[in-house]
Amino acid sequence: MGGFFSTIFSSLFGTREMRILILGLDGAGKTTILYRLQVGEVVTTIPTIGFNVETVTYKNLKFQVWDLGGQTSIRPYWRCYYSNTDAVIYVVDSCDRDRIGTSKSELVAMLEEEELKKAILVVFANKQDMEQAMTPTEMANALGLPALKDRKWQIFKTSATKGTGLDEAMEWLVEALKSRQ
Amino acid sequence: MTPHQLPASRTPASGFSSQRSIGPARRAPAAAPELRFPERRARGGRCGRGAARRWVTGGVSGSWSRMYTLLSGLYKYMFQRDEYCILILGLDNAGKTTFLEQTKTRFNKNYKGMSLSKITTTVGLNIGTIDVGKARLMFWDLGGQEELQSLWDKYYAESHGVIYVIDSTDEERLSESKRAFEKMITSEALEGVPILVLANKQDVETCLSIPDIKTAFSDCINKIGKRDCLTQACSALTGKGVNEGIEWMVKCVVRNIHRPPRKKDIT
Repeated sequence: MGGFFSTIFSSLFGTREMRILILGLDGAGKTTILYRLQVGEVVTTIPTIGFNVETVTYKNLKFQVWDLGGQTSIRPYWRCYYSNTDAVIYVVDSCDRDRIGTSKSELVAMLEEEELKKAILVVFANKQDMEQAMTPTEMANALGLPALKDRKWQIFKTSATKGTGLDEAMEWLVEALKSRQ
Repeated sequence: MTPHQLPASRTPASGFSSQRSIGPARRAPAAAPELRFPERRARGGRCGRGAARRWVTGGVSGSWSRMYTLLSGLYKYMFQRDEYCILILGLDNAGKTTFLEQTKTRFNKNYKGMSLSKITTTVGLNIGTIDVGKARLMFWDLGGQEELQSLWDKYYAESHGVIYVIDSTDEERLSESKRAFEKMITSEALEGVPILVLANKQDVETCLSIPDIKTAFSDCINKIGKRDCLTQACSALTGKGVNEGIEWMVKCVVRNIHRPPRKKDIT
């Protein structure tokens, strides 16, 4: 009952923090995206060993955003952070065609987790400022997204360094989280 | 318990006599919360309003919600539903996502929908589930941009019905819409699947009428083959025609023996 009232309360006043994970292979641009969202600037990053966590407020909605390191050796630890996740931002380097297969298998493994069953999936096709970046359709096929039949997903073309696409993506995410069924 | 032992607030109504044999445990003082009484009262509708109000404020709601959870859990456990997958297709900006949101809002009591004005271009998949009678419809709303149309056929094999949305205000792109429609209906994976064509945005005065659209799509008619097909005027924004469309679709997918539903537990 208490939970019920707190749900009502938070839906009225929008105080519940949404838990968002930013995942993806190393060098995809996860940390740059996190800080672009939080401070609105491009920061110089080093490969993340461990995680960065920041609170981002967007349109009255508070997000607790976790950016987890993407290197092969630390990917197994992603699963420790899955519980209570509202949405996953999966960042892919649109120019890295060699490793798109790896990216796909990591994504597929991740989405099989029971704890992420209800999570919304947002794919950031990052580094769109580069030439030969993959188009959203190419990326959807490469990541095997059409096989996902019971999850809401959306791809955004982003460039973390230029700051394009992030606002639309967050706006979409806010609406998607608000109207979850 | 005899009638005169009932507290004054629970003025005995004739409907009560059947439950007076509830046993010693029920000899509780007036303030003690009891589960059965308010329910009977609510149904009988013969009790005083003051009494009913006292029950509500008496802190019974916790047990009520537990009771509800229990009953609804049992209900869900006992019944299975037939699940049908419905694809929502059409060009970009036709109003597919708006239609889906409107449908979800109309058929799900507790769904507080997205504000329709905030819907943006879909580059991916939106989903939704509604229950109509014994059938459960699961919607897949796909992006309609030309580039994204190549993803449509990945869903055909598993669909039980298709809703094709046309923007009735966009005369220029009507032929483009027709081409996409034609490509879709000639796909073998969709053979025998009922198709609902929605002439959307009928709230706009200058829009094309149903006969106009039917004329524009006339050379598709022989490609429709043996399947149910209906053209329905609709406005996803105002909700006009939405219920009619969905009800028609339910009727068709249920009677289509070529694509049996997925049996799904409602858990």
